[in-house]
Amino acid sequence: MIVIDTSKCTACRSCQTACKQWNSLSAVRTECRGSYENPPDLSYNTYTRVLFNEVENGGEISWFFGQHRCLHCTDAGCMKACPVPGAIIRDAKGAVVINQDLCTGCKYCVFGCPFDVPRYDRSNAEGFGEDKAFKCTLCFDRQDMGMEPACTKTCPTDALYFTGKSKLDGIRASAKERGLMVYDGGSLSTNVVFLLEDKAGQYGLPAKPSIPTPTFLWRTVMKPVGVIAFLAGAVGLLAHYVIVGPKESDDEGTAIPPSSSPGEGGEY
Amino acid sequence: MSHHLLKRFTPGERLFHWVNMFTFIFLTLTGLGLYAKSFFGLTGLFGGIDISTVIHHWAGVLFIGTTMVIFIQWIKDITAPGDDTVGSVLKGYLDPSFKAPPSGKFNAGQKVAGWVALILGLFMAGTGLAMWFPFQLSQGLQQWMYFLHNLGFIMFMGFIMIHAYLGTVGVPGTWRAMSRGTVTKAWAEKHHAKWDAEEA
Repeated sequence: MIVIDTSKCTACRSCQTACKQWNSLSAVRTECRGSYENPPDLSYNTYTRVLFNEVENGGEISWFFGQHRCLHCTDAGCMKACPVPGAIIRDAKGAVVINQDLCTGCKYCVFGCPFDVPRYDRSNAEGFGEDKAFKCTLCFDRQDMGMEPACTKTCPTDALYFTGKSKLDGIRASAKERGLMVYDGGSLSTNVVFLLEDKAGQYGLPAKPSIPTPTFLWRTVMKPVGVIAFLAGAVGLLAHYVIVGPKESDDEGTAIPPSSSPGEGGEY
Repeated sequence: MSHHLLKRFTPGERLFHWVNMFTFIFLTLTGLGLYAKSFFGLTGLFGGIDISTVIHHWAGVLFIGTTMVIFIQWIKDITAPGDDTVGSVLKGYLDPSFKAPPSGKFNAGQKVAGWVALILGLFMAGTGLAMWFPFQLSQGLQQWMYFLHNLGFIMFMGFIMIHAYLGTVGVPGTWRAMSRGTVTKAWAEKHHAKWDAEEA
């Protein structure tokens, strides 16, 4: 589990850099858009970025540093939306990972995420082939080798740190003492937890994240509904055939019997 | 003269209906693989997800195209007034002793079916187009498109099951209209008495 203590973040963006370095993601030319925030969005080669939110409050400027990245939900919208078995998996440590070898580029996960994280790329991104979705992997590969994720490893202020999920109760208690709010995605139970100084919205996070209603209906409700409707329809039609019987005409709809003389038939 | 055959549909009408039927079958088989994770194996029927996606997209174009052509071909008969009602037609199917008012070329149920096919077809084409070309709508709207495409499929499948049943074993002699374009005189007298009288 990654903890992001926003009160300690100085927006140095070394997490962005370390992420790119470990995952061999190419850099993009940055551009001044009137903010320190760069790049402007997540992409196939940007798995995490620091958000800069300047808020003017009674003549004073407050600067909130958030982080836009995958939160690795325990109940993940992307996994629900994904139609390909095994293309998005959750490993034992809670990392939700897209397997680009199996990804078919349907983009369902892009729209199923409550945090607007997965990014789709049409081009031949980073040698993974065309039409794939990309996002943070919680450095599951580093974890498998006994290392912590690149972003937490590099963070100079310990704003980002890696810990076990069992420590969450202790973190909650100390956050309360320090007047910080714990943001753990509520029912989604994310494996990236934020400690916030202000409302979630100031950090670009939805206040009450949940699996999008249409995604839930589509993926959880419609499958049994569809199967039951299909079977009910089939049984209903069979029952009609057996109990009521087909609606027959006097000749049972059969064509001209072979014995009939040519002149007796119709124009066809 | 009881084996006299009546011409019901022209070769043109039947051609479009055949294309329409086959594209629906292809759409169902290629679409079911993405309906749920447990159906994903069905994408193997057409050599994998990439090919079945392409087939699904273009079969969809053919399907809505032929659906609209068929509707235009039949619009006069679909919108024609009739003495029968959906209720009387339905009662005729459920109660063999019930004598429904005589029907024209299409009975009230078939007229409704024509509208249902057109409206559901356009509904599937619209939501399908949003899935084919995502990122044109807001994220929230796009999520609904996926759900609505599934919902539309369930309704369409129900409709087609009834349509296929009544077009074959449910009303013996009807399949001829699709396969040969003709129906027997007795069939017409029984199911479309008014049309039979007009044709005679």
